[in-house]
Amino acid sequence: MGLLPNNSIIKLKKAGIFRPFLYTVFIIVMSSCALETEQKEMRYDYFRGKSSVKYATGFKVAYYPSYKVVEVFDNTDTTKPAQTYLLVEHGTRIPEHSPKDILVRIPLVSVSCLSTTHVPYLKSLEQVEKISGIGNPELVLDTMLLKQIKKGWTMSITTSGQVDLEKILESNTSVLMAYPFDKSALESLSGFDIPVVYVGEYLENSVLARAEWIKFFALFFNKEKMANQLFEDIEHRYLIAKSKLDSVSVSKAPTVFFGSYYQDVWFAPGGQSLISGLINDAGASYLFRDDNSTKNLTLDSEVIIDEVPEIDFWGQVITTHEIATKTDFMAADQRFLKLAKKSNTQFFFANSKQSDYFGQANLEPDILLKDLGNIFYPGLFANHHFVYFQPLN
Amino acid sequence: MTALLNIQDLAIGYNKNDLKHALTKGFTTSVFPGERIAIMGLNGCGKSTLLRSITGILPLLNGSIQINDKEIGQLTRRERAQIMATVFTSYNDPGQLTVNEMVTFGRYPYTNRFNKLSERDLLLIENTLEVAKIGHLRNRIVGELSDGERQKVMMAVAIAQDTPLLILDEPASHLDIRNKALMMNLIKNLGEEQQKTILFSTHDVGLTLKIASRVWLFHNKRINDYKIDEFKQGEHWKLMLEGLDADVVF
Amino acid sequence: MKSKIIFGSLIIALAVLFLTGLALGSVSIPLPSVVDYIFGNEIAHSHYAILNQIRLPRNLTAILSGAGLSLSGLLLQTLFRNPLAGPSVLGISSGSSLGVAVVLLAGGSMTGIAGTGSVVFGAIIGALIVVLLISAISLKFEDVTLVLIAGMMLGFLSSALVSILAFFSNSEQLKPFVHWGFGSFARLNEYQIPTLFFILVIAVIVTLFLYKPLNAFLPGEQFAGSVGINVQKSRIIIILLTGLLTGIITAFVGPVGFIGLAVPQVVKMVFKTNHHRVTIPGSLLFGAFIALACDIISRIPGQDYSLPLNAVTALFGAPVVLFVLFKSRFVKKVLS
Repeated sequence: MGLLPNNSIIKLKKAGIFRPFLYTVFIIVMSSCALETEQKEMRYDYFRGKSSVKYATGFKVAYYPSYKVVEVFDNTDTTKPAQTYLLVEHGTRIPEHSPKDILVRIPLVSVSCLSTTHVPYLKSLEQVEKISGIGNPELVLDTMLLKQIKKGWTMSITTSGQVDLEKILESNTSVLMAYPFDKSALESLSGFDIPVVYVGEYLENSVLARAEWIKFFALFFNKEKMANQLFEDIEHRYLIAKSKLDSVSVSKAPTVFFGSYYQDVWFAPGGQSLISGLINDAGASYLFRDDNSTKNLTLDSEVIIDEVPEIDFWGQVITTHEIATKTDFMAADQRFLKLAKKSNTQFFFANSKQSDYFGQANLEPDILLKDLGNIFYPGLFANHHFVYFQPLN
Repeated sequence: MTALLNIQDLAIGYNKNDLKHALTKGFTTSVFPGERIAIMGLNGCGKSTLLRSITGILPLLNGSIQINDKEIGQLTRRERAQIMATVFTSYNDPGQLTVNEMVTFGRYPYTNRFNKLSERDLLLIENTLEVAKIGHLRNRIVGELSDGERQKVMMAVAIAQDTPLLILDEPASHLDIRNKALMMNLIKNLGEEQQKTILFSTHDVGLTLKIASRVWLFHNKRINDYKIDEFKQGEHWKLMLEGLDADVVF
Repeated sequence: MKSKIIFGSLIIALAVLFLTGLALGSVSIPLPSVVDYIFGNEIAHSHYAILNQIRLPRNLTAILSGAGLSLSGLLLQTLFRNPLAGPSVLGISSGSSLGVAVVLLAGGSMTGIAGTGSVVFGAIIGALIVVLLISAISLKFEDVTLVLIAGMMLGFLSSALVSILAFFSNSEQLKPFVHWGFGSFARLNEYQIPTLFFILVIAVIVTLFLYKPLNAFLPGEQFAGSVGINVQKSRIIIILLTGLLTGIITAFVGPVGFIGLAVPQVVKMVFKTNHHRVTIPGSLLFGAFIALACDIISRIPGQDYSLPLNAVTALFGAPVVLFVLFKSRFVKKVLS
């Protein structure tokens, strides 16, 4: 009270003005403090690390001080998002939003993954311990997650391969990472306040785009800085490997066919698909590179018989434990076996039971490229051993 | 005595719009209570068609049939079921229903939605079982009865309907001599003691001679109407045997 | 009086089954928790959610659907006087499937998230179209067996159209359709169940109005006409009723076979009568029981596997139908 002379204070006290005056000052100060906090909150940027998307077309992110707006796109419409997510930092106000937007509180405390392909992304971001539920646990290859499953820390959320609502509830998860395929099974989850995030990394048609989804996962854990660094390394390694392949001079790039046989029909990836891009980056020429679609092509057996003898390389993805032999490649069809014996075609394959071709490979496009590089130009990458793709003996 | 049925200028057939191919035309007559009329004729001549036209299943090609001065076509189904009861020979196995339950169906034209049976209804059903002589069968399953017993059950349903008019399609065919005799007695009884009017189709001339009071004979697309004595003496059944040399003995 | 005992036991068995249905599922919830839940005591949050929002609705859906499908089956078996008549026989289930196929396979991206609403709509429209066609045919044809055959043909036609649609679809569109086609009682939420209940109640009321015609149809339509039943009108009402009832149930839970066919047979065999004062409540009760039993059986095989519902109903239904047929007088007559 050294600001006012003593007698003034005594005078004010005597006038009975002191108390209401004090109260008024008190209110004014508190309000302005609150206002300031709100403005501070709005001004305070919770997200030090931010990601920008370079290759991926399946998601977009916009940053606001206390929340992120994440848009997920699917194949049908590239202009309008299939779903918008609002990732709001814990303890902050929820911004105005459309009722169709899905609200997620970040960083996530626990997460359930319907697909095991999500695991490698979470692994690189060091978030495996947050996985409380996993779909098809028998397909898990990651050792840390397997330990968690064994201990009961992570539980299965599927039954007979189908989403099981009871198990999801029991897993006490805050968010379910699913995939945009057969959404009808997940309809009921909205009644339980468990947001469903549709992860569409497998819809990307270039290896770098698929790897870039590490940034998508990072958004939910505020791990953008880590994700940015990891992706930069991946991109760097890939581009170096690619430039080495570009510099290989050959009169004619080797032709490659990549396909599998199912119920009397041969399927091959379209010209704009991921495999096509990868093969072309590896210095070879994918047979259908001029095709315009990203989806699988169906081919008549006659086309195969026609093209096989001319092809330099033929690749396939094997999904069973069986060791690949030429017979497997030809689907044990006599016509093709004869051709295989005649031709000079060399065969290569990836076995998803022996390597995590569908999971970890998404994060190692450089290794995929080097695998193919060594197949098409043996010895090009001197110290590289085959990890995913390998030639058939 | 007033007529129960009045038939005016009747033409019947299967195709409503095809008057040229009517099975018979211009039939006019009256039926009085208590009459037992046998409808005879060769196969395909129109006996069943006539019965179905009277019961309202088939539309008339021409003319009118009035019952108690009401046009048959104007009656509601419920009203019609209270005036006439029909017994056809075609039979569908109803499965596990008892005789008693079947006969109860005869009261459907009179009861409410859930077939609540009054004292009178129950009494009537008892009586019916007596008259048709199937009291001892009341808890048997209809499907397990012999042909003759079953025919009696169908008659019982019609009797339980308590209608002034009974229409029977070949009531005694497929019956052995004993059951035939029982059936004949039943029909005669219904006509004489209960004053029911009975229209029945038959091939059996003997049956006709025994129980009918009147005969309608189909011949050359016309219906000839005879009193029974006339029919007996004139031996008009021989019209059906036209052109044959056979000497028929009864 | 024997039937009263049987009814009583059925009701008790149904109650016991209902409790079993609460206690069993892919997550094991200890019995004391289940008891606590029933008496309104506090239990673990996740367990409460599972019991209240998954198992309870599932049990109720099973009971309502089972009752409804059995009632449809009973009505059809009476109308057609044929033990092989069932809701799927008249092509109604196939019509529903076609409706759903159009929504999911031909509808394209418009669906998917629009999800259950449009699926239900499609299934009901599909069933209605079939039902209306059958009614029209019924008006034209005297012989009820012809109507039955027409229904079967419509069923085949619908299935063929579904195959064509499926052939030209990609796997993304196909999966939800196949998923729907497996049939499941686990799909309804707390708003849809009252709707189903309401519909069943209306169906039962209409059936009660059909009490006399149904009984009178048993010895044949000619017989029915003779005792004053309006045969055409009754036929149409029965067809429309079964069509709508089956259509709506199929819309909600997918095509579930054999319950409509087998349950009325068993009821007639157990109660030893065809009379509808017994077979109507019997079919409702027993249908509820069997549907719930099949659902529980499909959950049972251990924690990580479950059987598709239609497989279980077929395992129950097919032997029952065979057994009943062999025992029936109808077959004995034919074989003798």
